Amino acid sequence: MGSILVVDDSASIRNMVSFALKQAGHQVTEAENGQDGLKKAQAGRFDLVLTDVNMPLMDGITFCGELRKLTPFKFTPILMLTTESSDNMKQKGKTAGATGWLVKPFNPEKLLSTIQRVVR
Amino acid sequence: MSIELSQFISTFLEESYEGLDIMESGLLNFNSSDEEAINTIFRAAHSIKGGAGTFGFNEVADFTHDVETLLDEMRSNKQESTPALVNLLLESTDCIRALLEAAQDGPEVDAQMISQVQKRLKEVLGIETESIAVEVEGSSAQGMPAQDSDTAWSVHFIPNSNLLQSGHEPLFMFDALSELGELEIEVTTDILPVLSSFKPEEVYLSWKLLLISECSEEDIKEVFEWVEDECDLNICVSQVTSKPEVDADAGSGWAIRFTPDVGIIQTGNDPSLMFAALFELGDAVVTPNFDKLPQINDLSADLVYLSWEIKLTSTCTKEEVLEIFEWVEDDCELDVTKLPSVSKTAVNHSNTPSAVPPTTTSNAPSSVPNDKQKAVDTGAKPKGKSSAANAKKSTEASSIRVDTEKVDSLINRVGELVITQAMLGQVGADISEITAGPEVERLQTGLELLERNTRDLQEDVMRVRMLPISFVFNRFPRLVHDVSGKLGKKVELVLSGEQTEIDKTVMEKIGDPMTHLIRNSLDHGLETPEERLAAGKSEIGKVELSAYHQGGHIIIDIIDDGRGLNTQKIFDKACEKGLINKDQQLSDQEINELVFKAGFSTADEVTDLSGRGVGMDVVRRNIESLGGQVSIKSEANKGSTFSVKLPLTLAILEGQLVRVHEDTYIIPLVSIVETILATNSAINSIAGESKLLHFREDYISLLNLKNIFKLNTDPQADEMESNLIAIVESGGKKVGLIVDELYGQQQVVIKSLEVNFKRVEGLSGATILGDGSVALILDVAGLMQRGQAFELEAAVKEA
Repeated sequence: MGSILVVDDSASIRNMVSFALKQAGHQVTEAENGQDGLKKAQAGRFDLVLTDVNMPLMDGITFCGELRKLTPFKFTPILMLTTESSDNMKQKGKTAGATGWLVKPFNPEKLLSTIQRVVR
Repeated sequence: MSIELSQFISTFLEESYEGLDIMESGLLNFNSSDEEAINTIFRAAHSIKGGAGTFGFNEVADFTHDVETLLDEMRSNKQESTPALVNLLLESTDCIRALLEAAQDGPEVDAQMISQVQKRLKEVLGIETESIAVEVEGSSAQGMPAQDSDTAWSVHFIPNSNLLQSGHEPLFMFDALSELGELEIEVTTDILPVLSSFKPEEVYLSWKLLLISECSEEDIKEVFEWVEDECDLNICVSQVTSKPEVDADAGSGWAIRFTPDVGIIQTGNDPSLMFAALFELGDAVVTPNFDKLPQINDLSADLVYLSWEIKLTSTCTKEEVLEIFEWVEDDCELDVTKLPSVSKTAVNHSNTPSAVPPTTTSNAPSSVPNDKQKAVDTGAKPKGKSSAANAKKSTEASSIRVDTEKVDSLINRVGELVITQAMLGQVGADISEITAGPEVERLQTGLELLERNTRDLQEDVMRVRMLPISFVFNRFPRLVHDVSGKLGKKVELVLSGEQTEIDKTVMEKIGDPMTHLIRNSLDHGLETPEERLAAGKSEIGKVELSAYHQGGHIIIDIIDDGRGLNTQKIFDKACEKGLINKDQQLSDQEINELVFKAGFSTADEVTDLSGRGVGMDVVRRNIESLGGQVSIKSEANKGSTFSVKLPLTLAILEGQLVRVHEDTYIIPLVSIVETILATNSAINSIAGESKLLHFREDYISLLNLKNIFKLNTDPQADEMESNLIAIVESGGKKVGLIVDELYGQQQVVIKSLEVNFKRVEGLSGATILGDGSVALILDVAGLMQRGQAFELEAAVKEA
């Protein structure tokens, strides 16, 4: 069971993701955008970060890059929740240091099975 | 575990409607050079699409996808942001809204409108609907089992050893082939030299490929076109016709060679977890390769020095294996080849150079540096403490969404409390009249405190229901945009006081009358650009919406700088309609007020904009039913101002308490014009029971509440009538109410009669007074109607 940071500006997606994660026994912290996420990331320790790409104030790509610069997050898995299945977006994410991606729309089952690849 | 998604849908819908509002206001103020603005619009569309897909609103997701694509092209300047495109996007937001509402058990969508807008979107994007259909067919055919028309092509590809030096990459060629159909690749490693004489830039491998595809031999040759001089290529039709997966027996599997980049764990990917995922697909033998492991002193905890060979015995597809490595495909060298059978695996295995004998691992992590990193990591992690801190963090929120029913019930409770408090106050006052002492004083102090706290509580609770009027105002930029476009007028809309708060119920009901007033200003008030220029005004007309508080009321002004009301035209029209007499002397103000009379319309022809069969009389009636008033000020060629005055809430009323016979009634203070003690000579009886009051050059009819509510037990007492008259106004009409006594004025909490008893014409509700008695609240408009009916009845009786 891990401690997971969920960053998404859409409350419904955020609620759904954190509900599913909590059901699976994880600790969840929510953030509304990259800036918020960065603040919360610095205040805690996380085994996994899930982040949306398109967000106000700070987007997911920038957030990911900033997060990787922080020593405690050097190896932390960061998954992008993205609607863009295009390689371009995946590439941008990878360049910024993302571990992997999960393409929206996804259901809770898919989410849980996917994060098993990085968190046990 | 199955998770019910429906619990998140209401949040999704709410945020989608908010998103649509953001899109709409963004589009209305669209300025193509404002990058952040278009990003905001894009993000809103993007979120709607994402949520719609997740929560199963597929139609919404499909539709929004095109909108999003268009916005994306606009923000990256692939599409020029023309007004036409902005309009198309505005129409699209309407469609999305309609689709969402329909999904939420709303009215059925106008499918034609949706498909029409969608078609236009696709046209702009250069997507042809037909070609999509074909594409989908094509891609689905790829995933389907081989068709009869498919040919199994056997391709033997033996490249020259220097193939790589000309920039070619066999893997890319195989990729291209796999796009033609189902591809199976078998590698031949026969000429692989011993490691000491191995040259990395040379190719020692050759491949046997089996391609099941509809393609022709030429298609395959084209893939190898650039290397045909640098390889031996042999293409023929194979005898094998079935797909490899179909005849794969349980013993088959995959040989995986996985050489990650040294920095792989810095992307958060952990090879041991990937292997764990492989173990879930079947039995796996993981063989690490330590060749690149440096001396212990040079070892860095951040890096991975190992590579692995994995023999996976499984019936899974190659895609399932590749998916496990999906996130690292650019951060590693990965080679996945098919093991046709167990026995062959063994043969292959003996061919691969391996320094360390294979070890069968079930679950053990196999990366030394990685383990070290993990240990360091967990050591630094005070887990319990962090999770407590996280839990605290996640409870932080700036606002919560609450069901309005809960708020209403709370307000009702507080209303009861106010009544109880008033009762106690009365008892306290009575007690202090008959007795005195320190206890009574303490009781008085306590009661005063109770009163103050109750008032504060009531005010706070009322505020919970209050929302900024911007919720209503926000719909008007779009309205003005659309209407002015249709009328060919140029209009600037100015909003002020959007943060002024008003009760939610009042707000919900004020939208329609406001819409009507604004349409009216645009249609009748403002002139065309030509007329404006001719009148020496700027060609852009101005409509201003302004909201502010004034003594327990909220005032909303709708100000236009148009031509003003044409008093002569209104006067003539009113005469023509028989609303007034030709020789009546009316002030301009009185003439202006005529537009609120029923059956009045000055528009030469009813336009579809402000016409709609609804007159200003309905606007006035709607506003008055909210306990509000509407008035008008106008100056020729300068413009007109409609002023709407509304109570802050519908739960509390400022009332004048009056006695009629033995009962107490409450007249809403807002409708009282004045109260007078009339002289007998001022009251004239006319036919039947009707009486008229001569009041300042005007005659107004009098209503005797005793008669209307049939309170008169003693017919003789009728002669002894009071001359105390409260003159009230509704719908521009005045009547006098005969009352017996005036009490004080006070705020009363309105209790619905309809809910607790039944609807009574002439009464808008009831309240409980401080002494616990019930007082009925008069509905002036209803009383007027009831009075008319009563007089008619009496006249019939007389006759």
